[in-house]
Amino acid sequence: MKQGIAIAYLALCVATLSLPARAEACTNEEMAAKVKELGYWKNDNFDQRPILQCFAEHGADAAGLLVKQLHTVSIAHVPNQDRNKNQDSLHVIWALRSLYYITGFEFKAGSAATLKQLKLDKNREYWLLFGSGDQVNMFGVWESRDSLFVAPVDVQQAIIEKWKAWYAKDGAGFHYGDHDNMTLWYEGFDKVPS
Amino acid sequence: MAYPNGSGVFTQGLAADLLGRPPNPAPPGLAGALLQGLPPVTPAPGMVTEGNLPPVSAHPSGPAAQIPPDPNLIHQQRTIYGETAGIYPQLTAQADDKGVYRAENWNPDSAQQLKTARAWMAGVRLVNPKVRESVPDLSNGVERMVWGNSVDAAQAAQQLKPPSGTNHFLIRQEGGDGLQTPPSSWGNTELVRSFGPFMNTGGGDVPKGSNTYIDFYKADN
Repeated sequence: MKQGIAIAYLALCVATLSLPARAEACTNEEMAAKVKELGYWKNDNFDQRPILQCFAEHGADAAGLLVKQLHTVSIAHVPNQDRNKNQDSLHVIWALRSLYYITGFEFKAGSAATLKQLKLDKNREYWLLFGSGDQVNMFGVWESRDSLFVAPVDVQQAIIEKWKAWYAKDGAGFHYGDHDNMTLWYEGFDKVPS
Repeated sequence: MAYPNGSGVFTQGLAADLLGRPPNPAPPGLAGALLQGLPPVTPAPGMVTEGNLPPVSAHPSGPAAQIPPDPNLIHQQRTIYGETAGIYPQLTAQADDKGVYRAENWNPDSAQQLKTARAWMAGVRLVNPKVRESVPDLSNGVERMVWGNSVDAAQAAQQLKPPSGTNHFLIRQEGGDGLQTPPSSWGNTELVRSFGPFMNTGGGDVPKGSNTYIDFYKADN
């Protein structure tokens, strides 16, 4: 009997040792370092998903750090060719993209009607209101150019306050995950009109 | 909010006309007929539905038949215009000083390529609505001409279709600092076909120049 148990135990140990190693999880320190680096890349045309997956693994800790990165930016428009000149702004945009990715949602603010009265650049207005219902997106991406349009500062401020309030209330217990929906996390629309 | 209160008015081009400005003279031909009476383009293209589009006259000068508008066709026309209004064919060696703004100056092969690219764009619009839609100010002769080309290309899209699975297009200026390949967010991509070079006169985020290409892709996302 004892011999049988020992053999079973040995077999279990061997089986465990022979399992393929689980994908290396990023440490908390690595996660924090990646948060700081967001948007400061020399070239952002690489697959950012491993970074976002690292944030998802660290859920609440990552979300807290990401929310801390949020602040208003004065830039209105970042054409693809001007990205390296606007990395401070892109840091905020990538913090938001990361939050979208790990939570699966976004916040909007302001109203479409009042935005239209500002008579912004037509392309900026279009993408900030694209699929946004009655409110304003924090940012929008013109897909065929991969250029970025950012909301007016007061809209940004209102959205940032919503993120802070959400994190303070629900951030610790939220169920974080990988929400790999490009339209949401990269382009900033939570839905696309058909 | 720092915004003034009250309802917003979308005051661009035709939209503004529909909201109170003196009407622009209607352009001749099908292009004008399709524009007349349409609602303003909205930032959320999907909000334009068959239910809120008025009927369009089948015959520009005739009273008679009313046919229901095809919402897809309207989106396609507006997409072609919104995405490519600043893009023109290459010029012939004999081009006069009106340059790209005179169709007789266009290299015929390049013009045909641009028409095909625009027709493919209309095909992509059917599967990917994340596009810039826009309408012209018909009091502007250049915008009126480009709108006419957009309407023609949307019509041609009934026959000139991109290969199945083509779901993105990318507009780039070769040799410039801007985007040359799809962003990584598209996932795995396969280049289907590249059209060009064309002339980009600006106004749409792609750097100006004469090496403008329109690339079509099949992409994961």
